[in-house]
Amino acid sequence: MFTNIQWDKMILAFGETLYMTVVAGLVCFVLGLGLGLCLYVTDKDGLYENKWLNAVLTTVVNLFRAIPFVILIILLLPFTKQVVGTILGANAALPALIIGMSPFYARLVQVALREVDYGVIEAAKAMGASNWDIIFKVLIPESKPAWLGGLTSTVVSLVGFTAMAGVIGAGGLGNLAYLDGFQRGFEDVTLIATALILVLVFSFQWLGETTIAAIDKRSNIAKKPGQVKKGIAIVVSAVLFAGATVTVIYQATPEGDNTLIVGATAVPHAEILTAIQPLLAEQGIELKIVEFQDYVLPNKALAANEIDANYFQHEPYLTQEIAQNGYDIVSVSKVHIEPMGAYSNQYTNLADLPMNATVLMSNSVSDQSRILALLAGEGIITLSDGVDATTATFTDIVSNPKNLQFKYDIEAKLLPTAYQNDEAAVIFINTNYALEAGLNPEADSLLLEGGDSPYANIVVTRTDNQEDSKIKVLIEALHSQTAKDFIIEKYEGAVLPIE
Amino acid sequence: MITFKQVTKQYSKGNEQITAVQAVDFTINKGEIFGIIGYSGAGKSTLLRMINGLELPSAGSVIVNGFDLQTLDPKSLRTQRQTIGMIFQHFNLLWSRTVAQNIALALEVAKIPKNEIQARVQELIILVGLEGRESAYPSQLSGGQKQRVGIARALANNPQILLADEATSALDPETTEAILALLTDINQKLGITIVFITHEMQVVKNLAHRVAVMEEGSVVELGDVLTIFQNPQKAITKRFVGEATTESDYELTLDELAHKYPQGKLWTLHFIKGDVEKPILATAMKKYGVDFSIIQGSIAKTKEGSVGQLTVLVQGDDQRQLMDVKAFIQSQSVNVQEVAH
Repeated sequence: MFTNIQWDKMILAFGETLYMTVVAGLVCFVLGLGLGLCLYVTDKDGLYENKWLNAVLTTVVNLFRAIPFVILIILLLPFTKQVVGTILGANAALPALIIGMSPFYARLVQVALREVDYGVIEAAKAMGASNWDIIFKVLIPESKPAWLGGLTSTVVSLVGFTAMAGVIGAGGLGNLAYLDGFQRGFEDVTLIATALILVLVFSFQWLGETTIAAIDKRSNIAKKPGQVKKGIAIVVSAVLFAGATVTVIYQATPEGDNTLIVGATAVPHAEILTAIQPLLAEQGIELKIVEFQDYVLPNKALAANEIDANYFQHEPYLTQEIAQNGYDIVSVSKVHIEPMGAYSNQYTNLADLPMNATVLMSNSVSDQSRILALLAGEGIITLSDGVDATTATFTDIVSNPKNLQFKYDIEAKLLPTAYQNDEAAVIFINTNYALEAGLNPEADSLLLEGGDSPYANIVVTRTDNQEDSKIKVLIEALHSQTAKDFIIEKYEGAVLPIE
Repeated sequence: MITFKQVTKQYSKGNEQITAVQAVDFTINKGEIFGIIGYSGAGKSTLLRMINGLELPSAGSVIVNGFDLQTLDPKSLRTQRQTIGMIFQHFNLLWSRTVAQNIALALEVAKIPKNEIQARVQELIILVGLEGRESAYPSQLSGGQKQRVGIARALANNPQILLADEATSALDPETTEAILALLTDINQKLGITIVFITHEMQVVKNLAHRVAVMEEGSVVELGDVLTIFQNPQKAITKRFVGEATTESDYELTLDELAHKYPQGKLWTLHFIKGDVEKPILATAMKKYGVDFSIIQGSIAKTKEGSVGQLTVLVQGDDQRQLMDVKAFIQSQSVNVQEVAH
């Protein structure tokens, strides 16, 4: 039990989640309160009634509430780069967390303010109170339990959002549960990370409720928390804030000149990099691995100088990315090949496929070219003459004797699930996902790419740092005997090292 | 002190144009307690709020302490409002503040230095009789206590005018009496002008010197309370005065009696001031040998004294005798009115 848990990693992830939640929570509180007040006072019959301003604010709030959080993160990348200076790490998650949640909180504040009895506002006006007095002496204090309750909900939601922020390598418990727990199949990691998230959620919820009970004097039924409860609440807040602060300090620790930051996907890239970390350490280089959950950000981060190199893609994908985004990045070394495999629950040989059989593959265009080339190589289909195997598309098929039905609208990581659910006669699965799903490519596949494929996984750098001595050391280490032994032993031939 | 000059207030509700107050024209004197009575929707609440500028007239002007509120800039209007206290039907206290802090709010708004606030709050707490409840929250107080806090808060900045918006409508009769007594006391002690609105004649009787009766945005009758009670002119005023009886029942009874006793006469006797306790009827019976049957009677206590009303059926030997009786009763300064039927 719990053998896969690296407690230092777990504690760091806890700290990161706490950090993101507390910092984003505090900023959301200030922004949301301000925005909520503006919404309230500019509303009809408000202190500063302003139809147009109110319409604009309402639109902005609704707009940002409507954008799904993951999309918001991506949309905000240029802004984040400007403001935070990086698009990776916990700090880079903050703008999206804040912009995503502040409008939500603003709405809750507006609702809280609307609950304030108009009679009390009228009484204040009759006293000769200025609008400023009314806002700070009446509206805010009188709606305190409601907006504190809203803040509690906001912070609890933030804990959930930090998990999604893992997309940009923000770290945190959600990300750890996804990368180490789900992708590597370490269920104990998932369990503990989830339990810690729950601890956080319950702590924030309890703290919110206790505070509200202490300040709410609306009812004459005494429900004041006792001294002990107050004490615990103070200790819990202190621990939460201390945790967040420690993480801030930890994050502020500058990276030395000898740090090499490499972005990678979890399996097998990050694992191979971890295996060669000692080799780089011997040369005085600290290899820092940033794990990514997707295929878009690693190149973006590299081009934006956030990382020194990445190791997750093959040549055709890189070519496509450069063509699409104009990145100034370059392949510096081929490291390994993860053969694409064809899997089937019903057939043991491609030749046995019946007429009109369904062939399922990922929605990645370069994967599709690769699979078409593979099928053509096996003589199942024929591609038009002279077409480049790395850019072939379905329109290049000139003959399809079995009239195979191609389906290619699924996310690559869902392919193993599709295989388990028997969604198609043949399913092409990228080896890393096949491995994660517990398949053995050697034994279970109908067809496995050979080591001569153009789909070797490469180390990519920017053109400006490709000659860096640290990169040279990295490439050397990836081709060392240690790396080869690790790959062969660990992946039993499903991942093949390239000379 | 307060002058309404041809004040009209209109506002639009959807496509409809509503006239809340219509050409109101009267003056409230310094130091008096002035009541405005009317049913809900009569415009009395709007009229009251024009005194401290919570509502502004659409036409005409309201002059308070020599200022036309409409012409004041927002800052001067706020300063002016500090000289006009206001209390409310639902008290409108801040639940988040203690009794002392609620009272202090009015002083904070007036930018009174912190060190002076505490002493002034203590004075006010004693004035309204809330000693010992300083640190209680409104939720821990009874309705009467809450209104005392409201009064203290309204008096915090030594206003010259106190506006009361149905201040006792949410209170039980006993508490109402205590609050009315407090207001009367304050009026006498501080010489403060009190303007209140109500829909209860009882409150007018107990509190006001003068009263204006409002109906559909207009003031239909205005005068000192005693006159209004003795001699109500308008139907609505009569209704307020005779709230205790239902008019239609009364009329029916009179018709029946007139029919049954064609020889008799129906008189309504108006007693004023201290005469209610005199045995006028008994004396008349003995002296003239006539019979009185009491049909209906009421007595009301105003600030100036008691007002009584008695409707009787008189039966005598002949018309002359009855004329004598009438003259006798009138000689006792009781007004006799023949009830027409």
